[in-house]
Amino acid sequence: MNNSVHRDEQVFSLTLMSNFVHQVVNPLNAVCGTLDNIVKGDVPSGSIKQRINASQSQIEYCIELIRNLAFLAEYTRDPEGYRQRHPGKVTVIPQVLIEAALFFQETGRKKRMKIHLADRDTQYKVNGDPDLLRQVFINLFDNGVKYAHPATDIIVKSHIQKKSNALLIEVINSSDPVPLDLWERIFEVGFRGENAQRLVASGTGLGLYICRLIVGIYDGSIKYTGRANESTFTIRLPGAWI
Amino acid sequence: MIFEDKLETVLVIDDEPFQTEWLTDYFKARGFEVVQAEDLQSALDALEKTRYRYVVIDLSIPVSPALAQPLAALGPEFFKYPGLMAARKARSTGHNSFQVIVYSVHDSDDVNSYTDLIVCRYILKGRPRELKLHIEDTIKREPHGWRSLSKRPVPTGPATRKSPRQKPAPKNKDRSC
Repeated sequence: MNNSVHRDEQVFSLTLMSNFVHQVVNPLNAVCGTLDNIVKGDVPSGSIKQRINASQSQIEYCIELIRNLAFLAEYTRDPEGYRQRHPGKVTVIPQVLIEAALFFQETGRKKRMKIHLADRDTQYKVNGDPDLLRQVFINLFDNGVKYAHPATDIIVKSHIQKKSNALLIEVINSSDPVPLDLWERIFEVGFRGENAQRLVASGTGLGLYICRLIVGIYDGSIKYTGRANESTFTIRLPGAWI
Repeated sequence: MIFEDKLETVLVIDDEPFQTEWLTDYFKARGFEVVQAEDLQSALDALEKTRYRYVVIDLSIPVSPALAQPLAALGPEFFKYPGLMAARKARSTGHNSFQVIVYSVHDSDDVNSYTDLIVCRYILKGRPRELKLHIEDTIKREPHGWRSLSKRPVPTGPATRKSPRQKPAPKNKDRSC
């Protein structure tokens, strides 16, 4: 029995690593191809700046994937120790939302998508590491840009619940909803829904799992709800203020 | 079956826009038009009545539910690497072995065996120059069994040479072309 569980874990780790390698090598291959094209004069002169910007965004995307993996490795090894090593920081939510959205300017442009913050001005604050919480929004925006319909917006709404002082952040995209029986499963590590596989062939199955881990560090929660042509991720972070 | 032979056109089968972008730049700089297919069904449709100068195929492409059963019927490696079905289609419609390029991150024995079986090129992603060298090596070759080629522009890259990291061509490659 133990051997069987160990073998399953090994297969799972190898599958995860295979997905991860695919997700990193693929964009880096495109960056190499693009740079080689530029050096050889194969890119129209008017497009060189755009190609360099696109390459930069691909490299940044790879860095984020590697950060996801690094976080996963560090956190799962010692969750309690990780919490103790990341105390006392404050995150200004609109700031990390804007920083996360900037990652997707280039990929969003290709799909004619924009990330729209309904309220950029109210300085909602929560206790939490801005680097980690930024990662949550990067993963959610990545999910939206991949799976939402082209030429639609990803909308972010925030407000503080008066009774609990919890900050609720909704990230809403226009995609085919996930079936109800999978609303919880999409946060499992390695899970990729049929819709995800139909629309985008490759993915790590890590992004949403890491979102749940990170908000859990701050006693928060994340849930998914779907309805016709709309998917909403709702993050709840306790103890917010302005 | 009579195919429309598009000698000036390359079919790129890949769902990643940044991959298709650099490939498009590369082929356009050599005078080709580029047609893209972002999923398996679109790829099979594009190959139904048309032959292309090159078909570049990523193995991991989206699959509609309607194609899940046909893929499963072909074997587990097709389910894992749906692009193999497009490679199979391209080879069965008269594309020569050097024209069909499986271009993938996956370094897989299953893929190696199948590309040997249908005799097509299998180039790993990671060093784009390997793909470019294959194109430069073969850009002047006339596909066997096709109508005569119109005069092609000569590539502007370096003189043709063999990449040491390319997968060796199968021994029976020339018999099938």
